[in-house]
Amino acid sequence: MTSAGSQLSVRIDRKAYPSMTDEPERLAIEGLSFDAAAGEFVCIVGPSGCGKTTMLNLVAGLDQTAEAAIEFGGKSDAKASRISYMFQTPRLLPWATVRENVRLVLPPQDADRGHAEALLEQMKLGDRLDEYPNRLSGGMQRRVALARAFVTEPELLLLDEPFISLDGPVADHLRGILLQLWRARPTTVLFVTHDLREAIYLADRILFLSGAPSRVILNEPVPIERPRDVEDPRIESYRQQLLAGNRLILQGLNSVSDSPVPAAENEEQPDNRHVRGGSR
Amino acid sequence: MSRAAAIARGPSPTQLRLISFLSLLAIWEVAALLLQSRELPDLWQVASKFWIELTDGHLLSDLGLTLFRVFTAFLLAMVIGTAIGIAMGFNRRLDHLFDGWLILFLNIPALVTIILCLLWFGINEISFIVAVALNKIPNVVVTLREGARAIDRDLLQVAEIFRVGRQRTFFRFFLPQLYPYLMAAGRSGVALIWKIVLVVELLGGTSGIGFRMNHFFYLFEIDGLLAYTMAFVVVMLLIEIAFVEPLERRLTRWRK
Repeated sequence: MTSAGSQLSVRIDRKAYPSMTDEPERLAIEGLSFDAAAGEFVCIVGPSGCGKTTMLNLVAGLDQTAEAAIEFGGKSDAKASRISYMFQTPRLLPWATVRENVRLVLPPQDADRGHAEALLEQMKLGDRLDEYPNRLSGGMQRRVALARAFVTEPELLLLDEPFISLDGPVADHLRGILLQLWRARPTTVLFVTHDLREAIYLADRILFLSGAPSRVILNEPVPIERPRDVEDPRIESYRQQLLAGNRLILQGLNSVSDSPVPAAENEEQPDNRHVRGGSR
Repeated sequence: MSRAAAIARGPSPTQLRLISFLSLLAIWEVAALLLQSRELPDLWQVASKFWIELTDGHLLSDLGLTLFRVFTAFLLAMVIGTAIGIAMGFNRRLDHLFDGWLILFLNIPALVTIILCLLWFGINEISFIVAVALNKIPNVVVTLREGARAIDRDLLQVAEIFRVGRQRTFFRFFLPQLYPYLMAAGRSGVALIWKIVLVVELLGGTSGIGFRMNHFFYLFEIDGLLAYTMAFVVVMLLIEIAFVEPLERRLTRWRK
């Protein structure tokens, strides 16, 4: 089971949510397309509610109700590839121990080979193997979820704002672990976030999405060599440079809020709340 | 722990239970002694009747038969009720279609189902068990439907993404979410079912505790009635302590 990931091609022509009442259906995604090279780490940045989770679910094959062509390693069936997904919340089974949570996603014939334990050991969870998730801190639960995501040696790894509700230092630590794991077990990564600094620290390339209906409005390679340091001043200066050069199109991002945008420009901002509700 | 600390903390939960049970017996004994009536025999009369029935009567065979009926009907009701409940909880159309039936069956008196079963299927073991199970199934359906509606689909998505397979999805990701509902349905189930079994036996039985109760009723043998009741209650208590509570502890271990 070794892989360096595969080439990913995503073409989503149209994804809409049918309306519950008489209101018109809500268009979440329209004309969104991009590629990712094998083993590439791509961050997808966009305002809250722009359909990022919807897009990941389409790539993962969890949602198949869209006019879309998604190919991975030349195959269009998501079920034909090893895909891992780390969600916004850890989504661990509360009735299974740390060890069981990781082993459960392995095929039965591989479960006893010690991969799960080795990975957990490496993530400094070796002394917590037989504890239940509700005994662990939020950061530790994320580490278990990360171990679960990597233990199957995925060809494609999807992450949906996985560190969003954590304290700064804990989140930074986990980002470091993620990069470490990714270097040791190369795989194609799509990482969704609305935190531009996080995206610059992690990514080879950043895609910016518009508000709903979302499409790619900017596609920028990150010009900072690896390994990077969280405190590297180039991260902040590149962030400022991106924001300054693309002020209008990036105004929906949370991290833009510390560089004030004139009120007049805000009027154009679409109301995304409906789409957000539908993409849960 | 020092003796003083033990006193300061008062009796343990087990001690409290024991005290409460013994005081119930004491109230009975005192009442029986005060009344001095045939209608309320005291503890010793019941105990000696119990001993006679146990060694020289039908107590053991009646108890065994009734327990067999209780557990067969219980298993049948749980399995069928759970399957229907899950189906209705997940499928809105099915839910709309059969919700009316459910309310109807919930409200048919147990006695009616029992009499109809005895008339239609005759007086035999299968007819008894079907009559009892039919009375319990609607309750199981309602509880498990609630459980199926509360299923966390996020966890099922995890199973889907990692393609863990149907069997593992069901037993490790789906069913544990229903444990609290299964335990609730099971607990109220046993309590309800053994009462209905007695009614069935009383109406159509030629054996079992309910049949013997009928017999004591005609002979006005209240001590026999109470002796049989005690025997059954004690058996059920033992099952609770030896089987149900450990199972529940095991299933909810992770909550601690």
